[in-house]
Amino acid sequence: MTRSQVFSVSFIETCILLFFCCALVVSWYPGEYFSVFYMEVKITALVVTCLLVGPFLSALIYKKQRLQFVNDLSVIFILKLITIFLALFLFYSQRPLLSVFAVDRVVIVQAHQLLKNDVPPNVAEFISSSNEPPLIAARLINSENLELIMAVLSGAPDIEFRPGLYERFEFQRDNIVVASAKWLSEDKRDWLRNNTVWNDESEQIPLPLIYGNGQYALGLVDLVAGKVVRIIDVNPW
Amino acid sequence: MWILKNSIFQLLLLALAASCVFAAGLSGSFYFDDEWNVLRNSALQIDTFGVQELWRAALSGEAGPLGRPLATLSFAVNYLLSGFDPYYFKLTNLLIHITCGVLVYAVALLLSEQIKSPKLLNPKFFAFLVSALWLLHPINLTPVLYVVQRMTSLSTLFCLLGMLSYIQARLSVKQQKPRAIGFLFVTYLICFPLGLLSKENAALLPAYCFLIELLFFRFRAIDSGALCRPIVGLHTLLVFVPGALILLYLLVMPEWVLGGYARRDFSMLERVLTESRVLVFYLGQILLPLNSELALFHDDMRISTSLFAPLTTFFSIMLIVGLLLIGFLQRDRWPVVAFSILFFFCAHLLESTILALELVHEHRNYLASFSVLFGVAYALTRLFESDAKKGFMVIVLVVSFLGVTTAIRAAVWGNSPVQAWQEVIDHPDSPRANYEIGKRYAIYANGLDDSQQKQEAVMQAGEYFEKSSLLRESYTDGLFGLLMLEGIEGRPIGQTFREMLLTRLATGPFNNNNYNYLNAVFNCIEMQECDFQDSVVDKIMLACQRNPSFSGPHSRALLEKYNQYTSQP
Repeated sequence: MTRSQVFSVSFIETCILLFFCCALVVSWYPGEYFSVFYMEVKITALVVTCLLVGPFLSALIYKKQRLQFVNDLSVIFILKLITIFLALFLFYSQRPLLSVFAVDRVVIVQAHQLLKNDVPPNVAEFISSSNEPPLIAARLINSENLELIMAVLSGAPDIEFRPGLYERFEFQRDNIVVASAKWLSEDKRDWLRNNTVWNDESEQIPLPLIYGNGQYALGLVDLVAGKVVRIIDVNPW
Repeated sequence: MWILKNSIFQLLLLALAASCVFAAGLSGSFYFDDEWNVLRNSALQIDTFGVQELWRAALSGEAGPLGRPLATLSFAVNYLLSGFDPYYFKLTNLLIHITCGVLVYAVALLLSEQIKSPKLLNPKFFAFLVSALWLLHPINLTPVLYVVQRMTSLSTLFCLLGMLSYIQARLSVKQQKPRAIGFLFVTYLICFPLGLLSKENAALLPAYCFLIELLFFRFRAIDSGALCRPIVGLHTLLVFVPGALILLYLLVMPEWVLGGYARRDFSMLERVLTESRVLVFYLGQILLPLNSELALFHDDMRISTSLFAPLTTFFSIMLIVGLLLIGFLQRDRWPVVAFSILFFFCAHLLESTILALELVHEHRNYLASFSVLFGVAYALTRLFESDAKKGFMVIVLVVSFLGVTTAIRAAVWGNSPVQAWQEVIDHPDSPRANYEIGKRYAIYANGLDDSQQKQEAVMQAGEYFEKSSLLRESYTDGLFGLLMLEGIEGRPIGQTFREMLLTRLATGPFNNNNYNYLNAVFNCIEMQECDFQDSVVDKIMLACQRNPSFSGPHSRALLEKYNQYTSQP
């Protein structure tokens, strides 16, 4: 094989692998979540790394002695697999799992942020059966539970990251509507009417949305579908 | 070429691939039998590596006739190093799995060198492929991610080591006799007992060695080809004499096996008939694994009541007989095919025949799948050798399919509530899957303050327990769930289900789970977490005492608890 043939074969092989990776990532970060979590940037970084480790490195170390070259190609192939695995593992463990309504906002909880084994069975049912992070609600801590309140105040995970406090959002439907109404001042209402498809008759409920490392946006929540249907990149406050 | 010929490179690649595939599953929880064998075994909670503590922990196991002390000891060491954190228990299982994969590689490599015609051009690549298929196969997931199945993986580890040692002994019989004797010593006097102390399946190790001898060495000396009489004598002594003695014992004392059926809702004949379908199911899942079919619980499998009920029983038996005939008759012509078939059925001799064990468990294929995948890898390697491009494509596709299937399954197992749901979705008629999800709802309800959510959770728990109770006439899991729900949450069990529980306790097969559940009831009363009327407990204990199978140390301990309960004011 010539250097250019090695490059082409490795390029095609890398593209096939990356195609499967992208399909997986799109299923883990559906709809708006893909751009919210900057997946286009992360995927680009993965593609560039794989192309460098794959076809470019293969062409760079090209040797005429077949046996030695194939040995090197084996190592390059493994390097590429490790790169892809690490990236996929990272993407999978950081995928958005739930949209949790807590007090007056919706928090996008990622898989690595909570103890999955403590998730209540009805919430687990939502996770298993929905393609997008389902909307659930976090109960407030009982005012008599001083120990937990003190723990949260001193830095322990807040209610949106405590699976033991999760419940179906229907139990807090009224709270969600009230929280949205409180947030929705006249100027925000005007802004929404002028800049989005939202209007006063809309079934979608606007609420502040927190994701990632304390980043914020505006979320439109559909209580019939039980999910966040739109994420608007704007400061909700 | 490293991927074809470098063993270290291949083994590192295998370890890496297995770690990647199972990584997402390590975060899961303890499941089902882990509770009774690991979490509730107080002897495992040791504080130091003191000999006495380790000894007590090793002897604390109650599973199997030998108590499986080696596996139990490993659980105690795990506890000492990391407490009851399931992650480290599963990580240990993964390390054992990878070690087994290395042994599979070594055994396959040595066996492949004994395949005379047609001889493989790349035996190392073949061994690599066997190990890759075996390590990444989804049917071998439970011995890694289901903690208690370390018993199976440890036992398999010693069996593989024993087989490897036996092959080494055979290869050095003529040139270095002391070396050969040393290897035989390792096989029969080290690996065999260690395997037995992990799980009783290792009792089949002499049979595995016999099959290897029959199909690959043919009782002949490696160099001269002359009949090797000491080897014939060895197998006569270790396989045929014990086999004949066991058969004789079974004929004289049939109750040794039949007695176990008092705890089951099927007869020995029904079990043997059903196992024919189960074995075909296993074979199908080894050759084409589907995550929707694989599960922790297979108790929704219909019991065969006759040769034609269901009709698939007959066809399964025909298929098995046909395969066995091919295996025996073509053993000289196609030793690999014969090995694939005969080893698979031999590995199921203990758990899938007459013994009164539960009907279906995937982990029973942990070693059995090795031979089938040995055959598959052989076919793939031959294809690769005849047409490298086509062969390579097929190999990549098969290995990728197994790896991805297992990775997806592992990801589900890495999240125990989702895993419990998946079981119910894939096997809606499994009583245990329904019981497990009901139990999760009950535990969730127990942690909630009195609210609409709590009422809903209690209702859901009740519905799943009721469904579980109705799915199999002999099971009491769901009924005990309902009873506990009455005691803890005050949800009435209802007259129908109460009567059902009493009837099943009095007349049904009295299995070990009943003792566990009854102990849980008394513990709950003792902790003042349950509130039962005295008459309820009296009726339950009366029903138990009417059952002729309610006997032995467990029943005595329970009666003692009951006496303490009745003597309290």
